[in-house]
Amino acid sequence: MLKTKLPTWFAPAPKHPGEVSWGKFKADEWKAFCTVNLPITLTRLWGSKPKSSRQYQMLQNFLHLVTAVTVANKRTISADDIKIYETHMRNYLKGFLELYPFANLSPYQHLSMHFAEHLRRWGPTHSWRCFTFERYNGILQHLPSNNRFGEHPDSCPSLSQSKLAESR
Amino acid sequence: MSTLIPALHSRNLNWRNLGELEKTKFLRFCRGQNLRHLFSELLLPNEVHPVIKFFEKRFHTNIRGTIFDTSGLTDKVKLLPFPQKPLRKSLLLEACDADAFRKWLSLHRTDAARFKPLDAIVLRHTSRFNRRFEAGATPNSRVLFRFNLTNGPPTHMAGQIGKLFAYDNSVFAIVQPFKTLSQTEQEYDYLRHLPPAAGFLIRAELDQNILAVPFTSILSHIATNLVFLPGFPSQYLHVIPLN
Repeated sequence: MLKTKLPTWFAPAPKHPGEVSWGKFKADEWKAFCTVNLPITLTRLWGSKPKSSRQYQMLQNFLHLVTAVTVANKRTISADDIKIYETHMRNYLKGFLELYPFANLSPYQHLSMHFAEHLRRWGPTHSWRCFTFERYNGILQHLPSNNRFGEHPDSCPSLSQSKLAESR
Repeated sequence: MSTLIPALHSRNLNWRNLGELEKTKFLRFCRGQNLRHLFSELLLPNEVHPVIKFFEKRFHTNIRGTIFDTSGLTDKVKLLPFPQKPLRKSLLLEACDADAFRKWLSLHRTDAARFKPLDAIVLRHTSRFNRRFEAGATPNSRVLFRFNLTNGPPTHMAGQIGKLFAYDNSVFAIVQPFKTLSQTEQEYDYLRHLPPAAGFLIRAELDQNILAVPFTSILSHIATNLVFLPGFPSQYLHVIPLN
């Protein structure tokens, strides 16, 4: 990781990932770690192994995921890019089920197969991702909660009990 | 949740439904995003340029999350006022740079003979996609760029920006590409069968052949890592383009 040269705007990943003293990864650090550091390190470790080996297949599977995510995050996107996204995401999920037969697909992995349609309809994600949801978060954060947000059901047991009684 | 819903209902929305915000966003913002992409290609006639300037002024890229986010797809550099002060001698285009630019002009324009090196205004740095690009051996000068070979499809190459300059209201870069792998080296390139996110290998040496390209052909910065191939004495760079 020390040998990797990056432009100044790029937030590098922590130098000792996984150690408690470095804390949790931030979003930018996850991005750097998964799209730059892991591809460099894993390809060096597993890239020369036989294609039939499990490590090589795991590497290939991981890189399908990284390729799909990178394409989905492009600032300009074309119909061909969306097809590339679909191909790599499908290859990733197919490989995932073969390599890890005891793991279940998560809802996010299922939703990723619908993501291409969103890209086709609305274009690059930079213009529509999280914007509305961030606004809702802002509205919720500005609600007066007397600094006791989340304690409401416990602090009003009578209200909860009366609602429970009504439902019966 | 039952307490939150009435609270949300009680928010002052100027008597408009909350869904109107999303409708506006998808109509206006995505339309703007498509316009940005169209303007960034610079394929439009000169008559449209005042519209691009107005668009940039109205929807500035630094307004994060309120207008169109920070995608910065328009080539901001083209719209910046160019420096008018006399430049130091060291910032003039050198003869080899001027030759490379003449070569590009002769391939893409009819007015190649009109070019004089003194007409070019050399820039120390410039920005695109809200990223800073510099000339010289700095971390911000290593880039992936698109280069159109004569009668061939555009190829993507990794290189180092040697000089940035403005000419005829456009910005250009003098780029020195890295040497590509030989046929024998390619057989030992362990990245060639992997998905594109793995990146690619090049030799860690700059080619002597310098190229002039429009700044819009610079696609992104790159992350580089020094590697060795077993049995080969040369040093190589593992390149990963940064979107």
